Amino acid sequence: MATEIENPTSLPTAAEPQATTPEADQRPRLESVLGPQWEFGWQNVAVAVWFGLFFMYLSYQSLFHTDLWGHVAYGKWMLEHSALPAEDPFVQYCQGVPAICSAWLGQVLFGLVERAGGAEAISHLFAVTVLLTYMTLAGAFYWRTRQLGTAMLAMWIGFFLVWSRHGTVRTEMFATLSYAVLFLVFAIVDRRRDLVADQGQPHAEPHLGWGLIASLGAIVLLNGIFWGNVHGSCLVGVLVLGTRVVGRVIDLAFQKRDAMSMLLDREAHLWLFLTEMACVAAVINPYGMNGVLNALEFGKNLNLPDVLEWKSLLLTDLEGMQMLASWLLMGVLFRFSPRRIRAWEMLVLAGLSWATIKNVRMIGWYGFVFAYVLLPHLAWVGRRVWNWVLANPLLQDDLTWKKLQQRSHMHFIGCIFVGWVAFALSHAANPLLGGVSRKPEQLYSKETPRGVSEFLRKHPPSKPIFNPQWWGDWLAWDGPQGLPVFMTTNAVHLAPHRYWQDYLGIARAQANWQNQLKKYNVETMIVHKTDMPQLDVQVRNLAGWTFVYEDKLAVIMSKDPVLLESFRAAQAQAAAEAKLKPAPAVTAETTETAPPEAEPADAEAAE
Amino acid sequence: MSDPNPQPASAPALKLPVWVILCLVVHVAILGTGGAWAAFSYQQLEASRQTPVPNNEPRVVAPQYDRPQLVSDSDLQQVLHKLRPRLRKPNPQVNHLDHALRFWGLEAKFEDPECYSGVELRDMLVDYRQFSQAWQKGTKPLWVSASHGLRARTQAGLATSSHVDHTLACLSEVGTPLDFPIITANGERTLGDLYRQAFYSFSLNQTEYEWSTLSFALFAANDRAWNTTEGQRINFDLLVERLMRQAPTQGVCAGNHRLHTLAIVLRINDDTKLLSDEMRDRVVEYLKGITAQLVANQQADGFWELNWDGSVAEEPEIRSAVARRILATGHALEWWAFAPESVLPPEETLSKATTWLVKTIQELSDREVETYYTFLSHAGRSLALWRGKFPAQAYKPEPGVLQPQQLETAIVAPQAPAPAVAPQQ
Repeated sequence: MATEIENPTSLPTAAEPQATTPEADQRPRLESVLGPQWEFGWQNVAVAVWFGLFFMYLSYQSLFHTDLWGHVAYGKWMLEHSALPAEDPFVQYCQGVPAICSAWLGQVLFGLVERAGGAEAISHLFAVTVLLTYMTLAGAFYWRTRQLGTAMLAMWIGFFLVWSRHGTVRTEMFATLSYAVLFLVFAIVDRRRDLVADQGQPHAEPHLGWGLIASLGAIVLLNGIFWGNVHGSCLVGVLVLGTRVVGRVIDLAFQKRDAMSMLLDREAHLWLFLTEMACVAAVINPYGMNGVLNALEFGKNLNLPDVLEWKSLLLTDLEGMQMLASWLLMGVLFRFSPRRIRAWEMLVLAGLSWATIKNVRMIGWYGFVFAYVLLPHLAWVGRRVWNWVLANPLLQDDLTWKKLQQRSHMHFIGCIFVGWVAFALSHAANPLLGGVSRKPEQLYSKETPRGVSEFLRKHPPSKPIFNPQWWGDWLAWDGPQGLPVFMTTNAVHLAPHRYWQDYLGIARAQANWQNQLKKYNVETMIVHKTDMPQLDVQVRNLAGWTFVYEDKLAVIMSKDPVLLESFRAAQAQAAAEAKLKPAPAVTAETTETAPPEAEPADAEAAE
Repeated sequence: MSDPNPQPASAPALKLPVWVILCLVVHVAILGTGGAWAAFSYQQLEASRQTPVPNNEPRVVAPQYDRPQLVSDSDLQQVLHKLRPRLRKPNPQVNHLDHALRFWGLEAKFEDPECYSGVELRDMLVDYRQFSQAWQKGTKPLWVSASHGLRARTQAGLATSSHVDHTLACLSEVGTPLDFPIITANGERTLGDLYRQAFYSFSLNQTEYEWSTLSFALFAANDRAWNTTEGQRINFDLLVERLMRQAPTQGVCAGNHRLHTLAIVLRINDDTKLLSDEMRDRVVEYLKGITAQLVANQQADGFWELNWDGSVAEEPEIRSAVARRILATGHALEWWAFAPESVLPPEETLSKATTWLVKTIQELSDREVETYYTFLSHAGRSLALWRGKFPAQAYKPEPGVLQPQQLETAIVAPQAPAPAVAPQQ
């Protein structure tokens, strides 16, 4: 059972009399205009340093080359048309497949931000959103435990579990922020119950006033509306809330064995009410109930098992090891911690573990719940450790240690300073403080096919192209207007299954892949040299195709007459200009000049 | 003292606090409304996924031109006589049977004992008892059960259908209704089972889709769209767009079946609206473009090669040049016979093509006729169609004039070499 332990945060404050030297007494003292609530400890400064570094790290992340650009392109399309697309606007062979844009608001946000500040602004939006997410999570954890160290530790555990997903810039990041807000709601309620339990009444009902219930309902409703329009995962929130209802009923059934007590339990009503608010929020979207039905059917899509993040969990993968570590930690803590394990905790952990085993991407939702469930047990450990530290006789008389325990406004100012320094050193400060924007090679990930899209802008194809799915989003975004891309990451779930299978067949250079190209009238091929090695070898020997472009990442072959005409005209013009120019003297400077990244090949030779 | 007749203690009255009652009302209101809305939406969603009900009887798209200047009566009779279905022999190829059926139709009857009548041809296909008698023991049945009904085994040997939904289309073209029985090895089914399988398993991106689309058009009652099992909303606009997607000569028989289906859909659209007006205009423009390519690439003798669009010729699967030319020329004449007037080529183009076709068919040996029968069935049918009739209606052999022996004596080419590869179509 819970042990009564003195709150470790009840440390001496600046308001309390401190031992001072005579010299210090003679110095003039500054009167603080800030209240005592702004007196921070060194722990707060440490937390500020962590979040400052974390923000800098996030702001220095390059923008990934996959579905982000599809989201931005969707957002741009919606802003231009002032409507939601009925079908995928970029992959023509997805025609007839209704597109439910469950992430429309997130995509519009991306579109607006990009319109306002370019790609760099998307990076800032990402850094701010992720920072807010983890600050909210840490805040929720702190609210419940009132232990800063424990809250940060739990947040790191959550961060560790979702490590593979944290750096991906997509609309899911907004959903993760909403998810963190949900834990704030949990923490507010659970804190009250923990206080009652700590008073030796583990089964007593916490005080939940009507004002609090209404406020929480409003938070869940507004948060859910935001979530339901920025990403299709809002049902995760509904389900997690649902486990709280079921869990509470189970707890009551075991504790009181009386149906009446369930009816009279205000907490059970609260969780049911919040679940209902989340359900109401889920249908407040442009598609109404159809949006929810679509989300429920989404997992049945036949194409998804081919996508890496929809595959089952493998213990040998990073996520597998993370899950294993989490289960081990849970086992140890549950074994030794005296804190009560609630039914909802087991339900939600079992449910999300099962979901993660089935689809590895669910680890993103499992991680935060796991950290939250572990929180009271970590707090118990934290208090034991803290008490052990405090009881250490060496520290009793240590002046440095005593000084560290002091809370002061200086620490608060230190936190502000750290925050400012982190902001000033990040790229996010550029719009405000000035500074040089990142070069494209720093801003975009190395795998971004910038050369390919540039080539296609110069020589737009007139017929469908084949492209790696993970580049399709970028090409739709950065390629020529109306580029008929073959596949994008955003369209995987919209592609008819046979079309998707044909895409995979071509990408893997399976037998008959050339006939599949004909089926889709493809006349330009973009091949990822390292991820499509078989195709890279075979495509260069295609009879009747012309080799038009190659760089470190990609090779382009084409038989599109419009593209070839433009390409050959450019070649001829370049050759004519080269003839007109006097031959440069051979110097060390000219010979050391690096070749251009894009090296258009000699078409005739390639043919 | 204890009461000798104890009364049962009355149960305490269930009295709920007001706040609980209010909470329950709120819960019931929210959950009830949400549940009802969800159920209604789901029903709406399911209703939108309902597939259109086809007509039981397929449409018969009749020939529309009668041009005696293209093929004379006597030439037509000779050609039709030469191409009568002399298939009554062990192990008759399924692709010969279904081609002969669509060529001659159900009305056809022949005095030649080697020939199947139209009804016999159909029964050979749809009745496993007759099929199994004609084929050697151990031959697998043509029809097998499938997830949505019945399907023909396809491209798995001579006792199977040559193309996806080809046999279904052949049966549809000759007017077989959906409730017509199909006797399988495991009992009686109907053509409707075959149609349903084709319909529900259809993918817009399947490799062979020409005959599926043709069957859907022939049975379509209206232009209502439907969802495929891949979640794609299909209508005839999308189907004809698919037919026009690939390069002209790509597809079975140098792309000609796509053109044939387009021409048939246009004809059906005149009676029952299947296409939007914009799409109808696009199809007509597309076919005009195809005609222009055919006119530009017609050979001096009147025939076309498989690369009739002027593209670079690929390694041909059919080694015989005559067979390739009959295939390309016969198919083109066949779909033109159903196409709108505005799509047709100049009279000279048609005349040169029919003249070459008649002459070439007359010069074929019996062995060549047997080997190229599938291509020839399209050629023979096209010549009849240009006289405004189906072959069975046009074929009127005069007793004693077109006896098989006489005809063979007159036009057989005795030294004609056998083709190296027996074509499937």
